[in-house]
Amino acid sequence: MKQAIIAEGVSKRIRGRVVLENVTLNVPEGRVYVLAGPNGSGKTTTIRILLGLIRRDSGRVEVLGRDPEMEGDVVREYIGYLPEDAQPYERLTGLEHIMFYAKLYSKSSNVDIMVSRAIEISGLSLQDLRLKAGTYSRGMKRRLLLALTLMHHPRIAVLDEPLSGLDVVSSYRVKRLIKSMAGSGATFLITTHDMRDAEEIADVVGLIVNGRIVAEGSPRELVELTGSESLEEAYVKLVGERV
Amino acid sequence: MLSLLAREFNVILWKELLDLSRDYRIIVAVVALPLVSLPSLALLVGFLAASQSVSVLILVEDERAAGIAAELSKLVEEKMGRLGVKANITLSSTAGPPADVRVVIPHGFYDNLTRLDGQAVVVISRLVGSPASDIAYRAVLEALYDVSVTIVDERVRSLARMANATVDSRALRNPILVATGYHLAGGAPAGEAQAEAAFTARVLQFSLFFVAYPAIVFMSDAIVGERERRTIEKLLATPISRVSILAGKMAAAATLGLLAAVADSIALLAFFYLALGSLRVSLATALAWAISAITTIAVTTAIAAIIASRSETVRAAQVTSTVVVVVAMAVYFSALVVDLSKLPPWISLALHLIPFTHSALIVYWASLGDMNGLLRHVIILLLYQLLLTYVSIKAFNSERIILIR
Repeated sequence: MKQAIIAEGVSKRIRGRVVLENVTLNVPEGRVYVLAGPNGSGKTTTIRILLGLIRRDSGRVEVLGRDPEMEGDVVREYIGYLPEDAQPYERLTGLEHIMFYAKLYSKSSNVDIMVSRAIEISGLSLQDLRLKAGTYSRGMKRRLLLALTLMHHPRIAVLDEPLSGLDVVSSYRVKRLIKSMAGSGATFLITTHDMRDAEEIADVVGLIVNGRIVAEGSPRELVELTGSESLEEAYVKLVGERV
Repeated sequence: MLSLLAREFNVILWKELLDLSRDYRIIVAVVALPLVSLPSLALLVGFLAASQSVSVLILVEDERAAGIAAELSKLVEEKMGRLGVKANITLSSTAGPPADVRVVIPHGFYDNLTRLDGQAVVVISRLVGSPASDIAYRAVLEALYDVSVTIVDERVRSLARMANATVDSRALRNPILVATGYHLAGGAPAGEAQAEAAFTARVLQFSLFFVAYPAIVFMSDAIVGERERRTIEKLLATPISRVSILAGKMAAAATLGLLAAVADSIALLAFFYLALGSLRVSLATALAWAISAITTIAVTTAIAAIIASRSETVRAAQVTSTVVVVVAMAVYFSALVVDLSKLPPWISLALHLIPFTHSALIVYWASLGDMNGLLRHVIILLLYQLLLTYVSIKAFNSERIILIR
């Protein structure tokens, strides 16, 4: 199977501390890859290196066949990224956000199509979209940001804890959207610490602890490997003793 | 490639200006407030000065000098009236009430004054720490000068009569008549208008100080503020180039900085006009100020971008940038009171290493009509701008911005 993302032996130190050590992972095209691990395990650093936002100290990275450190602007054209703690601009309306991001991606996609798509993905009413984002609830902000991330139909969507803090309905909508987009060929790289979510949406799960990938496989493979009944139990068996 | 960069730049600039324009408090604080506050301050100070009642006590110990004291009182009132100050003058032969200025005309004053070679004494006492007493003191001195002139003229006429000669008392009083004019650096004569224009240029040089601070505030907010508000990482993860992001942010900060600078300069000119009554801005000086303000803002935003890219918080960025503002203030304040082109070479060299010196000198040379001097400093400032912009692009590194603690 063709790989959308390849990382081999990636290491990174930040302020003298080893954050990633010899990380190797492969994200197949058109699949949902969930990178799971405890806080501070290196999930976000891995994502940032894959996007070319920070430099790796060693190792090899290929995203859609290109090195993001060398061709970051090109690679990012095909990626939608939702950082974990991202916030919208408080003084801009939802529609202004959509117009702004649509223009940023206008080299590869049609602005009008992106705007319609963003409105649809966000699930926000036009009345809400005309309000300043500073007045939105946490869930509305997250939905707007997700819409901005997926509006240009990225080949790879990188979502850092996309379900964190969402209510049941919003979480259900996001998972349904991920499955739907993955079904139409988009690749997802998602981080989460909730193994029930991972089991529900992942094709492949990579478990990362202390900057190292300790296990990788489908949820079923990891469950069978550990003789567990669920991915959550498998996670505890594989990761629990290391943290 | 260039059209792509221009398109990206426009998108970022549009978003930045939209975002900044919604921050009404900032707009009011940096644009509207100076326009209202500085002229209001000048009017208020003028109103308060005119409203104060300044008291002068003329204590006449010499009864025979009562007429002269009355004349002196009239003159003091007239002088203070011309200054727009209400005078409260008391003529008394006893101690009288406390006053801002007390003028004592002692015994023997009249005799000494009316004698051909006599020297009369007046004792003046001023109230400590009172601006009103300074005004009254100046008025009393001017009035005494007028009285002295009258006495001298009278004495000259008496002497002339005795000597049976014709003497011009004015020529005797002022044997040297001073005729003052102006000239330019090259030696060509100049008029009062040019002198006024040169003074206005100094005010405009000083007004450049107000250019620096808003640009720093906006630029710090555009980089560190975005990081604090958790909006920058998503922006950095878009395909848009770092150069476009930085350029768009710098242009937005510069636009608002320029608006603030125009507002501050108009307000400052209004302040000086209302306070001094005469200012003259030539078209060349106004253009030079505009060029100087634009390049100064560009230089300042580049410096602020370098500092912001390395700062953890908006407050840290602004505190560090305060150093820049202090340097700018030192230069621009010096430009108000010191001739920057007349300093010893080592001081001049040190000052010329500071970009803000060149922005002050652009306005200075323009006011004197020296286009070579103006161009020289415009070019130096543009070179500074290029260098600092290059460094700011290098400093605007996503890893540093995302990971800084």
